[in-house]
Amino acid sequence: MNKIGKYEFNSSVQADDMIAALGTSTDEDGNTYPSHNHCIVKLGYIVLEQGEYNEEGEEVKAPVLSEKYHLDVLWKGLEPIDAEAEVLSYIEPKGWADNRIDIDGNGVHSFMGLDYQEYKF
Amino acid sequence: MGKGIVKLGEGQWAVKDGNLLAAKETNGRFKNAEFTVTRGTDATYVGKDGLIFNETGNDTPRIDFTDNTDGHLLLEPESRNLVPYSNEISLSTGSTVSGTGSSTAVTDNYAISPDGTQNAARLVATSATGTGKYALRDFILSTSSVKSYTQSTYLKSNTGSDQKVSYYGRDTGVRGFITVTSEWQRFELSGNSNTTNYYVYLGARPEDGTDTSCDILVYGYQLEQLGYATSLIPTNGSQVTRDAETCTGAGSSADFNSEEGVLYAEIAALADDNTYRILSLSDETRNERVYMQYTNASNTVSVVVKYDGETQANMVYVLSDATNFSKVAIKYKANDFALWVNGVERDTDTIGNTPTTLNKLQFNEGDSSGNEFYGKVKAIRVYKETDGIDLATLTSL
Repeated sequence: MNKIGKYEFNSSVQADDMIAALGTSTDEDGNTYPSHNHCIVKLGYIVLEQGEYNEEGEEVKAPVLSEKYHLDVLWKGLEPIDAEAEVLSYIEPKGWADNRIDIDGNGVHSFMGLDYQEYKF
Repeated sequence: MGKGIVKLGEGQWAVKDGNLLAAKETNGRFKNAEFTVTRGTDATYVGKDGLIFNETGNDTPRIDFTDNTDGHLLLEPESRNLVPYSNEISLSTGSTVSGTGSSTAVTDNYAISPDGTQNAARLVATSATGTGKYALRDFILSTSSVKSYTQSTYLKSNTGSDQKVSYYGRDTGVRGFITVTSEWQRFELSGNSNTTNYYVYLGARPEDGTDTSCDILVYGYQLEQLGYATSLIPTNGSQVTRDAETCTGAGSSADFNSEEGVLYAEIAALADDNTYRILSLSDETRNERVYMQYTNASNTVSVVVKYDGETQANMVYVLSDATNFSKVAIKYKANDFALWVNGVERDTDTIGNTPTTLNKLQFNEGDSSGNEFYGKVKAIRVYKETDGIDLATLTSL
């Protein structure tokens, strides 16, 4: 089962640690790559209020950014918590639910063709 | 082992949700060999009629007909369109003008677009002339560090005549003009942000050689944090991510001969981006393999044979342009290896063993993930023998 989760962390370091804990592999040349197949989108410190720039792209007024670091995750192939349950429910890997947030609509980001409200936990 | 060929493509495509079908031909009889395809989201492709389609089935392989009539399997990495309204340009861009009389006007949903529906926007820009005078639509993305971006958009003249239009982004090179014709064309530019933003401008800037006014149609505004543009990711109010594709696991040990054979493919890279992209025959480990790859060197293909984890042959050829289709083949047999590219034997190796087992054909490094083959594939053939295979003809363009 595929599910979408939206998360906020205190820093990019905390988010990267959570992502790394999902697992990595190393190829013959020493390059590391995820050993999971979940689709993780680093939205970062999202813009709450747009900045202003002149025609040369120089910043006139700085944007207002979220104090939290944001990730959107399309979890793929999650197993139900209880496969015998009448209504199946799902949960992310350990620790992620603590940082999950819920929003109305899709927010500033969505996965192509997937409605967050339909796919959320 | 008996004779037999595993074939994919060559203008004959069969797909369904989660599967790409290759054919196993033995003595004139055909059976299916199924690749497992995964992609967690929708994705777009160009159909046989030239229109852009949204592939709404997750995991459904895409056969894309951009610039060819036979079609090719399109395998792309994850990417995100950072423009929140890819078609409603009035919402995703602002007006940046300089000079008396300079102006821009956008009408959304004005004309038929490359997807066949009325969702292309009209942009009319009129600029004063002289240094520092312009009439542009801007899209500006706030950033916090220097990153590489590629912007792309479909443009068409709305007057029936060619028009010289300004289209540039931050650090995309010397400003000039592009020529927008009466046919839809996709224009692409790559640049780098600074520590605060990346910008894209479209319109009239006569000091750079553009016309003083333009009247054009705009569709599929896209900005990706990649060094090249990928297929269109439509957006309508938020940034949108298309998931990466994987294509794994066709065949069994009965379909391939580990002692001798030929692995052939007609392939093109999405970009010359100096990453490994591998098409492999393997025993589902990295120890026993025959594979071809674009390497981390510019425009370079190589073919490699592994036995017991050790490299037995590694033959390399530098293409003129990896993004053009090439026909690549590796012949493998104990102490008899050869690399053929585009009709010519490019390299040989006369010392080495062959793998002990080959049972899967897949678009990655061989153990089901890692160094995925992102690119275009027109054809694949795997032969179970080397005698009687005319590699010059097979690989001729």
